[in-house]
Amino acid sequence: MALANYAAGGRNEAAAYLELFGHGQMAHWKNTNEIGYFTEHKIHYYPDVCREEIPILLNRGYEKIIMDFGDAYEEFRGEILRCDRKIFLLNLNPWQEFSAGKMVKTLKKDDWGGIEPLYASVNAVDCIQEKIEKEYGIKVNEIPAIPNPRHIGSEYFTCLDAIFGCPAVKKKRKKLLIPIRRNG
Amino acid sequence: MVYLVRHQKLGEYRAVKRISKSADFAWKIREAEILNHLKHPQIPAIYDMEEDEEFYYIIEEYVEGESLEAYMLQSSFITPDFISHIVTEIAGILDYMHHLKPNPMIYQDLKTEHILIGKNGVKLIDFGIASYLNETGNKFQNYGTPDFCAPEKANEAKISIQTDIFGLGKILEKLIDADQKNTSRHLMHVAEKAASADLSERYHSVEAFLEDFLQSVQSEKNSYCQKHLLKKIVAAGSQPRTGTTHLSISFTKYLNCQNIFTVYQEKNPTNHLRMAIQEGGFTKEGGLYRRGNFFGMPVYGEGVSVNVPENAVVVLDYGADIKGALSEKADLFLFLMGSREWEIRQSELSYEKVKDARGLVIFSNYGNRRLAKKFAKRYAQAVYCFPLDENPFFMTKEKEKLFKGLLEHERKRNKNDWNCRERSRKRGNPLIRGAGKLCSGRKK
Repeated sequence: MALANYAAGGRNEAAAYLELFGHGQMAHWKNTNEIGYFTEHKIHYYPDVCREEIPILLNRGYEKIIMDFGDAYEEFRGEILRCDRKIFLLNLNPWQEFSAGKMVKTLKKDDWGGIEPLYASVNAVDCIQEKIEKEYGIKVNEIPAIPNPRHIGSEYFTCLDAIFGCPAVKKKRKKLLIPIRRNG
Repeated sequence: MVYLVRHQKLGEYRAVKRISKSADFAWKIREAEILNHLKHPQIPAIYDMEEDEEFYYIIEEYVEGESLEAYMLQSSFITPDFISHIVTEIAGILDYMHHLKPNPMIYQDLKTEHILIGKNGVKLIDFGIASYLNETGNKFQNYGTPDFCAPEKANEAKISIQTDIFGLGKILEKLIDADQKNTSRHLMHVAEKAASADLSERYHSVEAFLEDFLQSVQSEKNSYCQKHLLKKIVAAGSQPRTGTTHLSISFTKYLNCQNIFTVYQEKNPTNHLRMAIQEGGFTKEGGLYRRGNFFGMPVYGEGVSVNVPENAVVVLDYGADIKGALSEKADLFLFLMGSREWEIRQSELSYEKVKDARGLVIFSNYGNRRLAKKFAKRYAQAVYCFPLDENPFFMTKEKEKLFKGLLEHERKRNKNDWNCRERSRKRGNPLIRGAGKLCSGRKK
């Protein structure tokens, strides 16, 4: 939700949030219109989306579509493969270390179509993060805990830009101060 | 010869200085001895020294960044805050060296090339001719760079910590030159005193220099942040495509050039600022976008919150949304009237809506002075003629003159409401003095 909010509010892009893990939380929040979504802060929220609906939604002209697969990452492997950014959130607490390890192990088995998945964690315990990174040869990016994903402060912009993998600004190339040599 | 090397196992970068064992270069090893005595976060650390038959190898901390010299060449914008930061940091290093126990040191070679600005802050490098204060013979008397070299060094007189203060004064002078528009006389006086050729006039210690320097920086800051400073400016156009964004950006740029921290805030749905950002040349700072000394904030959605810094003046660009602009309680209301023949009717209609707005300032666009005069006569109010301009992010003399005159005039008009900093007080009517850029109307 934070990503969708940042795309719509911070980057002024047409954004949609797709709930794919099938828990139906979004449907309880607000009622959808006849097209199947509701709007909140300029984001189109699609609750309980089925696999078959994804291609239709991809062609609705959104600039950013955030697909929330929840813990159903194995089930939706095909869909995840087609995503431009694959973000996997790991819970690196002592009591969730096993699940995190299991998840990374499963993900490492597969080929991700040339785009390496991005592993991220909120409030990771340092020693566990190091252990996981060493064991599986991955880099876990620490992301800050955003208190309210529907109201993001400017301090999180850099991190969210990094997750999107596209900087908000395009730097102009600096002129090199090289003296011009003239022959003769 | 200096090499950048990487530790094979640790992956850490180091700088390795290779020094020939020939007699001429043997004194260079002194630098290693001196650095070994200096433990300061802004002085590169020395790790080790090796030698073979021909060379000595000094392994030092690798300092990433560019020199102040290069920075000043490339950056067209040196802020007073930047000057304050650099000078305070360098003075801090010198103060540390001058109070080193048991043997205080003098650096002797302070110049812009030896100050590195990197991601870890400011660092002072090259201690090749630094020496102990009580060292006999004042070694390296003849070394130094002409622009920064204290006269006592050139005259082979006794050198002291005041030699370093001279260098500090020269650095400050260079920075002031780079920021010529914005520096106060008091700061210039501090630089002159520090770089005085006469030892009795020069500061006797870094503390004394720093005290005066910080005082003048503070007084400079206080003069920007007056109690009744102009805080909120609203800009609106009589109709779409009149150039409200151009005017607002230019005005923001002007205020920032005058050292009044100003943020342009886009309040219309055209998204022009974001389009400019996409073209490149901006950096992002929090939610603000910066280009030189222009700061802008594009339209953000409800899902994010970006706050304009409290000390900033805001220029709100409402485009053609006059209703929205009127809803703001602003100190100045910049109203841009279209001056093309087919725009005049709409301009007049829009004027009727804003004529009672607080702090109303009327502009006519496209440099049409004839029409500006006509509007001025009709409305019995000064109408400023915004010149034809190519780049709003670039401050031309014409625009500078216009905005300066405007602020002086409006400050007098709104004496009790707000005040703004002005550089030079000139007498006379700014409208007449505007060399034809401003057009006036007489009150009936």
